Amino acid sequence: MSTAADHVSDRLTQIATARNLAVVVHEAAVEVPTDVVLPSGAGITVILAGSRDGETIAVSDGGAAVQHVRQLGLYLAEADLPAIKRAAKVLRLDFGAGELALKVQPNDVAWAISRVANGSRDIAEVAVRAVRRRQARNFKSIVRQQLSRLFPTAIITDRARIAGASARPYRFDYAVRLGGGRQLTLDLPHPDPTTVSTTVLRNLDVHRRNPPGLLQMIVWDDREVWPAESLSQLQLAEVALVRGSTLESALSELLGRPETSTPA
Amino acid sequence: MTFVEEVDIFLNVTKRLSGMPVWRAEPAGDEWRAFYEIETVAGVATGRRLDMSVYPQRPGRPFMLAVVWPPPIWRVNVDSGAHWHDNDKPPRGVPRRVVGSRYFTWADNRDRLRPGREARLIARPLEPQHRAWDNALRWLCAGVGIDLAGQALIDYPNRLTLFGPQ
Repeated sequence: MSTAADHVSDRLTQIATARNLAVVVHEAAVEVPTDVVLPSGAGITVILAGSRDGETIAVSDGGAAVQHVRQLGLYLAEADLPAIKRAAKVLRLDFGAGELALKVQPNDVAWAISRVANGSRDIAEVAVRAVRRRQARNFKSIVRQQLSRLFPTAIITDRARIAGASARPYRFDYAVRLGGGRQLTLDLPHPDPTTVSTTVLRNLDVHRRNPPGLLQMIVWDDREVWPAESLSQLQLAEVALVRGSTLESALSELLGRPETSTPA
Repeated sequence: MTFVEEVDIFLNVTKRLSGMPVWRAEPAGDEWRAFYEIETVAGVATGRRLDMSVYPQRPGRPFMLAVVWPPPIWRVNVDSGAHWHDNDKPPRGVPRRVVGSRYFTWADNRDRLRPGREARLIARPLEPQHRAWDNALRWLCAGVGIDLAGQALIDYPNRLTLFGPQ
C-alpha cells in the first residue's frame, strides 16, 4: 500500500531529477541536499522518514549540527545539551536524539526542509559556543581549586573589579587578597583574538595605574593549542604570563611562600 | 614553535597507533565514537588521537575519521551522494563543490586551520576504492604517516545490541 512517505519520496525524486540534484532514496528514508551551508563549507542534508501511521513525515537534519561540532575537533557533553535544547525550542524544533526534527503533514514538507536546514545551521553555532564555554569553565574551575589549595586562608574573589589608569573599572577572573596588603589578580583568557585583545588592554590599564601591592598574572590554558601571535600579544600586557600547567610553581616563585597568606 | 610548525613535524615523523578502542555512545544522537592514541614508533605519546565516529543506524552507515590536534588536521567523511561540501577559492584541480564522500588534508588546509578558529576548509572527493571502512582507515593512516604493520584495526560496528554496537 502506498503511504504519504512514498508519495513524498516519489515527488522529491522527480523534483530532484528535474533539477539535477542528488536526492538519495534509502529503504526507510530519503536524503535531501539543501542549499544551506555550515560555516565549515559543509552543506546540510535533510532526512525524511515516514511515520508508522503513514500519515506524517519526520523531517530531520540527520545530526548535522552535532556533527559540525565534531568536525571542529570538539566534543559535546551532557552539560552542553540544555543550551542546545533551549535554542531548538526557540526555533520550534525538537532536539531529541541529537537530531533537529519536525513532524509534518506531507503537504508541509517543503517548508519543513527549509526550516530544519536553517535551524540546523543556527544550532550548530549554538553548540560550538556551548562547548567552548564549558571548556573555559573547566579551566577556571581547575585554577580556582589550585588557588584554594595554595591559599587556604586567603579571600578569593571571583570576577573581581579593579580600576585601571583610565579610571575605568575592569573585571578579573580571580583576585586573591594576600598578607601584607598585597593582592594578586588572575586573568584566564581564551585563545580567540577578541578575548586576547581585551585581556591585554585590561591588564595594561591596571598595570599603568600601578596600585601598591598589586600583582597581576595572566594564566593561559596550555591544554589548548594557542596561535603564537596570541601569546605574543598577551606579553604586551607587561604582567606575568603563566602556563596553566605550571601555575602552582609560578605562584610559589612569584610570591615566595604562598601558604603563609592571610586575609588582608 | 608555531602550530603549523608543530603539525608539520608531527606529520613527517613515522607514528603508530596505540590503545584498544571501544565504541561508546555520544551523549547526543546516534553517533558512536572510538579513538586510538597516536604515538611515535619509539612509544612516546604524541597527545594526538585518531578519532572514529560512526552512525550505524543512519542510511548508508556513514562514518568520519580524523586525526585530531585539535582541530582535526586530516579528515575523511564517508557518506551518501546527498551530502556535499563547498570549497572556498579551491586550488587548481579541486572542484568548487564536492558531492558525497570527501577528505580534507593538512596540505590543502595548512593556511586555513588554526586552533580555536572555525575555518572554511578545502575538501577533495574520496576515490571509490577508499570508501570502505578498512580501506579508508588504512588510507588515512598512510596519509598522516602512521605505520600499521602488525596492527589489528577496529571494525565498523555491524549491529546494535542492548549494550551498544558490536
